[in-house]
Amino acid sequence: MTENQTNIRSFSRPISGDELRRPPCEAACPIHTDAQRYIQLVAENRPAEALAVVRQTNPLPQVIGRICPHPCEDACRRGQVDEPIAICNLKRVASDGAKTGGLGYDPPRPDFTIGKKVAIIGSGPSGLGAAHDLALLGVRPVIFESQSEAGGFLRTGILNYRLPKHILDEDIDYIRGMGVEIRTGVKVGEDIAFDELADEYDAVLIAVGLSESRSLPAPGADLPQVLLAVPFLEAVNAGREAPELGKEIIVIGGGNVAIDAARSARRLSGGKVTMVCLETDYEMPAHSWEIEDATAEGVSIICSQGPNAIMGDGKVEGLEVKKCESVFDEQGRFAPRFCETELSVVPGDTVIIAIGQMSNLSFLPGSGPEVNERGILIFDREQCTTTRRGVFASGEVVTGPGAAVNALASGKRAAIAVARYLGADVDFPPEPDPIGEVPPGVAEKVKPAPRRKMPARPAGERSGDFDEVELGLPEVEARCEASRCLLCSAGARYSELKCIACLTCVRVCPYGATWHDREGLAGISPERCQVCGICFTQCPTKAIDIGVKSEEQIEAEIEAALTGGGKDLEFGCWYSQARVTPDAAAVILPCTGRLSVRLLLHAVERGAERVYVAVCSESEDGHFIHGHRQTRAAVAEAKKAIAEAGLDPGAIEIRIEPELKCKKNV
Amino acid sequence: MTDDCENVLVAGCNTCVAVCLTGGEKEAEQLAQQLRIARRREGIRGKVDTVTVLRQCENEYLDAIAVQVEEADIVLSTACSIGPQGLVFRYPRKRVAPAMNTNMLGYVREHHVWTEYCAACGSCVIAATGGICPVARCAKTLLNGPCGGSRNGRCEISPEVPCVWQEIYDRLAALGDLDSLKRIIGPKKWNLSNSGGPRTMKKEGFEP
Amino acid sequence: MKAGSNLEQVLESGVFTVTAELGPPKAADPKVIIDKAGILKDHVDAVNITDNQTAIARMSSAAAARLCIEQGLEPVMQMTCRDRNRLAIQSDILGAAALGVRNLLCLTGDHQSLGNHPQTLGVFDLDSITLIRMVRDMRDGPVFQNGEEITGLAPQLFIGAAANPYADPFPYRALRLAKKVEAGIDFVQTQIVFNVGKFEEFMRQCRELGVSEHCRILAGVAPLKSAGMAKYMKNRVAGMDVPDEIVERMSGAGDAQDEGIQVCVDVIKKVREIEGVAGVHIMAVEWEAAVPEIVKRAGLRE
Repeated sequence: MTENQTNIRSFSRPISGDELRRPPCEAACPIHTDAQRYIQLVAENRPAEALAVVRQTNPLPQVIGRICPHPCEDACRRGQVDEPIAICNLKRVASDGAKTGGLGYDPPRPDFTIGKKVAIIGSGPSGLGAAHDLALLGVRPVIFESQSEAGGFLRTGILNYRLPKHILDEDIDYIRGMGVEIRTGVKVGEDIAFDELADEYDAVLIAVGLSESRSLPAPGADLPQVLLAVPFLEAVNAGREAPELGKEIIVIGGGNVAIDAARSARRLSGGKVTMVCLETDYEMPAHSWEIEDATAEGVSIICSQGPNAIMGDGKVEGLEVKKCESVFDEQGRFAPRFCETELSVVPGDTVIIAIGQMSNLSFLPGSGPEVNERGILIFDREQCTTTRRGVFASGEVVTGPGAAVNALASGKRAAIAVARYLGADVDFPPEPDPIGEVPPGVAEKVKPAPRRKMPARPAGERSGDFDEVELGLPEVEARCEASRCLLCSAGARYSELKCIACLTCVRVCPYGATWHDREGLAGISPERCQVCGICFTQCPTKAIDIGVKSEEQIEAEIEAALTGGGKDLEFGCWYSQARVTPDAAAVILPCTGRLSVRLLLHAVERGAERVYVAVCSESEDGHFIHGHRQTRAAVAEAKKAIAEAGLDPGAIEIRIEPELKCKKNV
Repeated sequence: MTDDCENVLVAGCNTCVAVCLTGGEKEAEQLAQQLRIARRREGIRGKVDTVTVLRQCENEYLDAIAVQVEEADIVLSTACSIGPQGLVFRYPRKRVAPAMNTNMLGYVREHHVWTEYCAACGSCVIAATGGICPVARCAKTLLNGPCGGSRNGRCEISPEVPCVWQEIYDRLAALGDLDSLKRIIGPKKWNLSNSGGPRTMKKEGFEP
Repeated sequence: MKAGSNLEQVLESGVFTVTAELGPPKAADPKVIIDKAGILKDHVDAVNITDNQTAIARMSSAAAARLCIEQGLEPVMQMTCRDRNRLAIQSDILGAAALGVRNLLCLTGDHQSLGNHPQTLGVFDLDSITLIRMVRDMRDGPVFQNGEEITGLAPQLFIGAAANPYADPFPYRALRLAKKVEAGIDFVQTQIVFNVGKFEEFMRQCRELGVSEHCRILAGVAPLKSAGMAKYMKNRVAGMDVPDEIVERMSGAGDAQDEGIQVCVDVIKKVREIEGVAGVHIMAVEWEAAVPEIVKRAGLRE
């Protein structure tokens, strides 16, 4: 037997877990933001660190924290218990909190070590995202923006009430602060030829988005009171003289741009605003919450009607519509079928057309890159390349319409593609593999907690101005919301090398997450694990650790808390936000049932003269089943241990938090 | 015991004593923490480290921690008492002390409860007692039935202690084999237990 | 005759037999034995000398038995498995026989944790049944436990055992006594009888198994001193069964001691009627003075 063989199970080894499995929110996010991590930090009221986590993947944290359609929430496993976590709102909490806490953030100043530069056409989310990531990858980006201010559709298409301009400015300033140059008011193709850019720069990224509205091929579309949504929103956003609107406005379209046009028209005119769309109410492409907000503000919606003609003689008098029988064909493609005989008229004096957008590629020279027969850039999705060497594309110009976060993701991918092309040693990141659904029988064991609602200004008040509608979650609410997170895939993991199949974890797990089979093999199901930590405290061989707040992490937090000079240490609970000693340095855990005897003794060893352990009730269970029982057992054992070591066992004490913020708000 | 030692090594054992939550890596580290706390309080210099092997009852595993053992002034073993004795055998000049009392050979009837099931007596009787051992589980190691202190299934020594002979009786009654309780089991050959001196087991044909 | 003791002779004669109990002192004073023997000797056929009863260290039963013999009272020496291995037991048996002991009661012994040295080692090399078999073989073999022949004078002992009809599992109790008979006992003394009904059932089972044919059965009886004692025995003493009506009788009595004696007498009268009961064993622990009165009231000595 060689020494290695005899040693093989003798010494500590890293815990190997299901490391490749990730939370579904992260997998569903186009830019794979580690939402779980920043949510934890929000739960602990550490917004600046939360924001830093957001920034790891997201160059526009404040923007995305306000306008994202949050596909993460659709994937959120908490939704299988009650309602998904308000992930998007918590992202906003991170950046809002980081500011109100006075914890400003300084952008990094990367060295452009690659020694190459890239021209990016367009400063929308895709261009900004690409520029940000390219800078971090060591490539110098220069953005060319035709408008007088950066931001693309974020600035021209999204209204102040959803995304205040100063917020957009702050996110863009951060990117500028990284050394990214944005040349505004420069129209490629007019002020500078595309070929010139291609010659001067080592690569070009086309990220021009969809800057033009499609018009309606219907009689009357040329009447003066017929507006296109994009220029309309542009004008509204720019604060230019508001277009002349009547008192009865018809918006054609059922998407998010149509909603914004309608809500803006409502604000500007104070009159009657009616949306007319082909889809039924449940088919409308606009997000449900946008529809709710719009109707709350007085916008009415007529579904399943297609525009036939704009009525009026020199002046709009109404919209003739025909019944739309179906919007999509059997393959789900857009192919509306109408009943040409079922006509009606929606009266109105103004029409805004919001039926879709297209890109303007008129700046491209004949030498390429090439576009296809429908006028769309020919594009390789994997490598983000066009038909011309050194010219790349990203964002809606190639992906079609979508959310800002998708454009951001596309820009970030392009950044890697461009950097690789320019010689950077970087790979496209792998797609995260999400864990599965909450299994039957587990959801019932999760402590109920309702989703916290985003406070908003009352509809009556807000429909008269363009000030921001949503107010942001207050701190306590935000922490309660954050602590609803199930911490998917961040629970117990074990080392096969250290596990001796003693079955302790199998016996103590209240959720049946630990298992063993007849062959003596044991494992932990990330789907069942609720991250209570009881198995971690009990495992006799230290084969188990927890993803969120590993033993090492908690030890480091204990040490950090005690280096502040304090002699008292409190272990608090992020679910109850229980703090029993406002003056003591605190280590916040997801329920103190996570505390092992080892960690309690560690605090004493590191100089804590008194250790307080917060629990939220007398009950056996805390946030987790058997959580408090475990807390009490660990505290009793630790007391005995320090008594044997000659210390006062009273130095470790359980206290019940008298006022439970999390419960008070239920 | 360790006051005069500068370097203390707590040696854990990650098999049987780990399974019964008394001396695995976790317990060894807790003991080390406790010692560090006590020694700091008493102003004793030096360090307390831990090392855990898979089994302290085999040379190869003990050899693997030679460096740590050599550095230590005393080794406290949280293994069953075989561990410290193995360390003594392997490291003849090293001070070694047990950090745990070895109680019994037990069965886990329920979690966190270990019940003595075997006394390692060397002459197994359970074939005659319904597969239940009165040597380990009767307070008087009776071989021929319950004494007069058996009451309501409990032993005379404590209402907490079940009367194993009641269990044997019930099992044999259920098996329809009460006749086997009529047979007298003769005086036990205690020489096969440790009464006969330390025992050695050899696998025939594989002696070194 | 197997041993030729007085007890054996009385029992074999068919006379209703009376034995009592004499506890050696926790001291070296022979006078205690002499005094107690004086109280008992004209009223009983033999007297049990307990062996570190309830696991409390006392004067050895062999020595106390010899002191008894000197007073003209025949001892039944008790021998437990708790304190001695088979070597010590055999040597004590040889010694006791040499000193004139002719009756030996073989017991497992109360567990040491119930006594005053709970940290001691319980020996239990043998159990009561293997002890009985060993003593019988020493007498009838005559051989030592290891099979080696006793080449000189073998111990001549009338061998007894205890039986507890009130312990569990009840259906096994008569079987266990039968096992003791098979091992070699000549007589048996039972646990104190208060619940006569259950004792009758036990006796019925013993008759069925042929136990009463092969060994003489003495029913254990005892006088209660107070209502408190009745309750204590009912609730706290393992292997005791004191019916509520007796506790009530004791509670309602003006003179508790007198009532206790009367209860005992009533029990004696009842058990005497049961087929197979050859006598009574009166256990008046530290109340030897009650024995003559019980014997008198029960009409056990004409």
